[in-house]
Amino acid sequence: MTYTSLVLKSLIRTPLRTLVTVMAVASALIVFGCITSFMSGAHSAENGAMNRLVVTSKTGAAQPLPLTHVMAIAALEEVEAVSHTTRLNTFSGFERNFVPASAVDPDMAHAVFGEDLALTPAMMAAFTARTDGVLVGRSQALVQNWRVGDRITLSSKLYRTAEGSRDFSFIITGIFDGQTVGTDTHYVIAQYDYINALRSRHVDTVDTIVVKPTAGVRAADLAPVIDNLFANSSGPTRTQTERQFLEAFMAQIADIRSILNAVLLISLLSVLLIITNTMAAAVRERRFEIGVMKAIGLSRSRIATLVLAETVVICGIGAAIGAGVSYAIVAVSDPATGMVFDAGVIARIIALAVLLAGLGGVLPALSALRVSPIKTLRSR
Amino acid sequence: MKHFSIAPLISLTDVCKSYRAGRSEIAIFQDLTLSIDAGEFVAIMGPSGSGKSTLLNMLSGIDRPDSGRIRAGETDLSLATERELTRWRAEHLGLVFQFYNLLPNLTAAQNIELPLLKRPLGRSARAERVRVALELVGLADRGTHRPAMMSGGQLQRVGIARAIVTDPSVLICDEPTGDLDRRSATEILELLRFMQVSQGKTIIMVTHDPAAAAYASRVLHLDKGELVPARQEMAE
Ligand SMILES: Nc1ncnc2c1ncn2[C@@H]1O[C@H](COP(=O)(O)OP(=O)(O)OP(=O)(O)O)[C@@H](O)[C@H]1O
Ligand SMILES: [Mg+2]
Repeated sequence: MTYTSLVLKSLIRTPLRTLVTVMAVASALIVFGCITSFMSGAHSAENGAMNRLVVTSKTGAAQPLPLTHVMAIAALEEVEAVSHTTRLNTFSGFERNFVPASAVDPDMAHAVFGEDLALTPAMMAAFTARTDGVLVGRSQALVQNWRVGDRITLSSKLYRTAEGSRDFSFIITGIFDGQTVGTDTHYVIAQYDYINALRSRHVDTVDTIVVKPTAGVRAADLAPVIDNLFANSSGPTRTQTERQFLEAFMAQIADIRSILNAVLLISLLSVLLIITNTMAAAVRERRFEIGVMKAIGLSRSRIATLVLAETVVICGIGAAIGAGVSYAIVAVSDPATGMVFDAGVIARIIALAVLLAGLGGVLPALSALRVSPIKTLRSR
Repeated sequence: MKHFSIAPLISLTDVCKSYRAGRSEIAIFQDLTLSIDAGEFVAIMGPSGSGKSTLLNMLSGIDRPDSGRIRAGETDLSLATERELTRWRAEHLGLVFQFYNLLPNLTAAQNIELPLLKRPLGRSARAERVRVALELVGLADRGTHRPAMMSGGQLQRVGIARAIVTDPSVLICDEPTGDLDRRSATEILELLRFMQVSQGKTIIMVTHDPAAAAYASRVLHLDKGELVPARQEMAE
């Protein structure tokens, strides 16, 4: 027998109670694991680069800009590369099956985003070989069960062809993965010339222009230069860093985040109460035995350590289950959620489990410290 | 060295102890003095509530006197900290209780092993000590039994084995036969005398039973806070 086996024996004396407490810890850590995976995933404004600029219409991000702006910006000395994007607002089959698609100029997009999206020369060659070619992000391809070579039809809520159809037909020429797991790959990249030729509205316009400054030029300095260029034109612009631009979108998600954080905090507090309650009950039930152990020479600190060790075991098993289930949930979840379960998430789950064990065990351990052997022996 | 050898093993000097009951104070002991030599088997008798258990608790370092000194060997228990008292108990003392006080979820052997856990002994060394202790109390084949499956007499043997497994110099027993039938009580008392005679233990035992007290080498009577040697015919 060892101190360790003493701890384990105590835990299996009340198997149901131990199990319930372990499951409570596990469920709180599952909530924590999933939320942490979500927050560390694609839904982070940190994915927006500081060194790129996003140009939108001054009247609103949904307003189109003339295509000629792209050429004008590209001509600037401080600009290394430019790419433009036109959102098509598309779905596949039925309206709720939203498949975000954007039309770009392949070469321009490659120059600006090629690295982020891990686009290979082979992919680019296949993509540009036909004008109705599209690149599909890995997560969207998984959701739709699409493969390279598939012919797909996307219906636009914004554009119709001259014949009045809102259906656009494409061939999938490649699937991109993105450079990191956090990269959003839930959309489709189509070719601007193809869309622009078919659509009957907003011809020769783009929605946003992304600008990569020349090395040595600060994005923040370039932004006013671009806006001044178009200040007196028919399409005045608003230029921000990509991160600022994303942060505006993230504002809504930030609200969700604070709600999630509140939910998390409450679930952690309640599991803390459950742990404390369980261990306090255990100490109360074993008050007599603790008194006897003290009388026969086990030190107070040793007995408090045994109580804390029980809490650590409960939280440790809970953390293992919590991490395992979180991993499974993230693995089977819709990639659109953008959840990422990585070493950082595991580390945070472990850290939290240690914290729960410490905080949850401290009051019961103190009450074990206070058990008086005199009173114990007199109570019999 | 010579001085130490003739000094009593345990001595109480002018010990006072009282309990507060509501507003009034009940004095249990006033200026109690007692000394016990190494190797003695002392029985303490007395009416219920006379303070026998309180006396044993102070000797064990579980309780403290209000004033006066308690010395055990070279240790002054009245000055020791709680931590020192715990260590002293673990090293020098074996406690035997009326109701055995075994842990119900541990086997007999595991109960006996409990006081050994804080010793710097390996697993096999501990197991060997437990085996010897079980053999000494005549329960060599009962190590894996749980307390719920054992008789009162067997439980008290396990209690004694747990008390002696650390090889302490003193055994303190509070009514060790109080819960046992005559036959089991006799076995336990024989065992205690064996511990005194052939293992050289000093034994201090509280009992209500004159027949039990007869096993002791000295019988003291505690009444109204005074310790007096029992009259010869009572002890006989
Ligand atoms: N914590 C306490 N608070 C108040 N009074 C106490 C306390 N502990 C003991 N007493 C009182 O001290 C007296 C001596 O108690 P003790 O248990 O030492 O007697 P005892 O001789 O062992 O009795 P018994 O033979 O019934 O075991 C009793 O009157 C008891 O009520
Ligand atoms: Mg008593």
